[in-house]
Amino acid sequence: MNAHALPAGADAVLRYENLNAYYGTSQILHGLSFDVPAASVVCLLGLNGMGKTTTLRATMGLVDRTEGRITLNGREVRGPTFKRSQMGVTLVPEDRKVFANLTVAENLEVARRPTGAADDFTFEDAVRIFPRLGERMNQKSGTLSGGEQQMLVVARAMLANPAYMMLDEPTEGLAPNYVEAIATSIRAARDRGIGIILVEQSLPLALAVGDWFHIIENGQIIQSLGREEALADAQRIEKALTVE
Amino acid sequence: MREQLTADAGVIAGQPPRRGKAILVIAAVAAVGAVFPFLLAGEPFLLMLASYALTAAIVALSLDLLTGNTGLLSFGHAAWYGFGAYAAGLLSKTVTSDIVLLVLMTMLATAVIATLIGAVLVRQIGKTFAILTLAFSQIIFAIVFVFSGLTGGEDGLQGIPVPTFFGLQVFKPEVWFWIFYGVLVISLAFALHVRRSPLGKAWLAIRDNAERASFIGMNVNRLKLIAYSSSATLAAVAGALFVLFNGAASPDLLSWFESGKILMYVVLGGVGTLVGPILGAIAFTVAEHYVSSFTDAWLIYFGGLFVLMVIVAPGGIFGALSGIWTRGAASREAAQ
Repeated sequence: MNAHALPAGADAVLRYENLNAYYGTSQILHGLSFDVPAASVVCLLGLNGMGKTTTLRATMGLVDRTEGRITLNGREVRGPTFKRSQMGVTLVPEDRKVFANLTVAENLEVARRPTGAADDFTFEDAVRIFPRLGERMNQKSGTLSGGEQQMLVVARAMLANPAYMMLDEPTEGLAPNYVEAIATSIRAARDRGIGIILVEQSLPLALAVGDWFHIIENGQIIQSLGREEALADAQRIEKALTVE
Repeated sequence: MREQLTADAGVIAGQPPRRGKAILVIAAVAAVGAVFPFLLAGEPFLLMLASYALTAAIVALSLDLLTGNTGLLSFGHAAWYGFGAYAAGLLSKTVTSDIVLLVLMTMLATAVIATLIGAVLVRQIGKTFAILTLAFSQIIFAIVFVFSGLTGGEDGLQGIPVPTFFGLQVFKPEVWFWIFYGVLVISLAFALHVRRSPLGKAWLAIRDNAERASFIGMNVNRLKLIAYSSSATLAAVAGALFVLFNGAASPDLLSWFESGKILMYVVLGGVGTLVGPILGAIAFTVAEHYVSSFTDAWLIYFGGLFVLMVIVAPGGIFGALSGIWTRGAASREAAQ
């Protein structure tokens, strides 16, 4: 279990309670409520513009205004973005932006935030999960391919040793071998006790790694499924994700 | 694997690459500084010009600490250069003539004030930050005239006593050269060390993408504030030394024109390279002296040169020299 302080009696969970979010006067999220238990992968599915990314950005304090509560292991998630990150939640946005003028090793080093737990993510773990990064340690990260840069931003987030990690469409535009590497990293993070929110258009990846599935429409969860239900009803989910 | 990764981490943490090589570099740098004044024996003006160029180099390095490391562009950096000059000048007239104490007191005063002002400024980014630095520098500029009884107003701060070092008066041009040279070398070594440290890497990370840096827990504003205060403090050191050397401070030190010149040193030399701005400042100062002695329209020529440099060599003097060096190394390797 990743070592982020858990107050007595609190569940190890990232909890959204009746979350509303606004950009200016436009309300994007309408009373969103769901849990992300530790050591699980929660997939947010839905068409573009339905509020998936806004949910992640609201968690990091990047929307204009929110109402409702987000709590992390019982403590309210609030304050500037870096403080939310230091509380134990991190975001890997969809536009894979590395620190282009730093090498791969330096990108990982600036992100490394040991918690003191025995199962903290280390450089070795990053290289084991993403061997390509190991071959590129001293290369300026701005010169990496798109797939390698995506691996790096995921590895960077893992080395921050968060309690919860949010991935926004991490496999968009990636070749199949990179997609598999990302899936491996998600499983590895879950196995270390990290709770994960995965926003993903690729249903096969979501079904491969997900434990819980929430379909979002117009800023609200319209359907929630467990893993078994989702696997049994993949066609219905696929239909919900298709523009008619 | 562990050894390799530890080695990587070592590079990041700023450990010296090879002790022998470092000692050689230090010895060479010290030898050049020690010998230089003797090469200009009988040419006191040239030695003075060299000292002016070194002052410009220190202040250029100070701006690169901010702009090169964090991407924050300051249009008002002369405010801190001038603040250091006036602070040291006033302190030398009222408190002590000891050069070390004067510089330390100026550094302390600048660090405190720059931190207070920087705490407001660094919350802004891009053009807003740049314009606010210009506005702030104009406020400091105006203060000189508002408190003209203290600062001398348009006449500048006059009558600054000759500083002392452990009771001995510091007035010989070669001694001043060594002081400027020593401060520049120590400042550069410190800046290079910081660049390789975790702090330096964090600065470069926020320069590349501040939002992503905050996602992994970096307090971006605090990191920017450290850069801003360090940069201001080093600029003030340059100002303090300049005024003690020059014996007077003029409001021109705080002007937007001076800020523009400092920015030109950095761009001309190569933003973010640390060594480049030093080269840019030295080249600019020397060229300014010689070109302005031929024509009053020297700014027109410098403006043209500046535009040409930005187009032809966007990496500045340092970038151009690095390119030549790299191509030469590649040619030598191919020939072997």
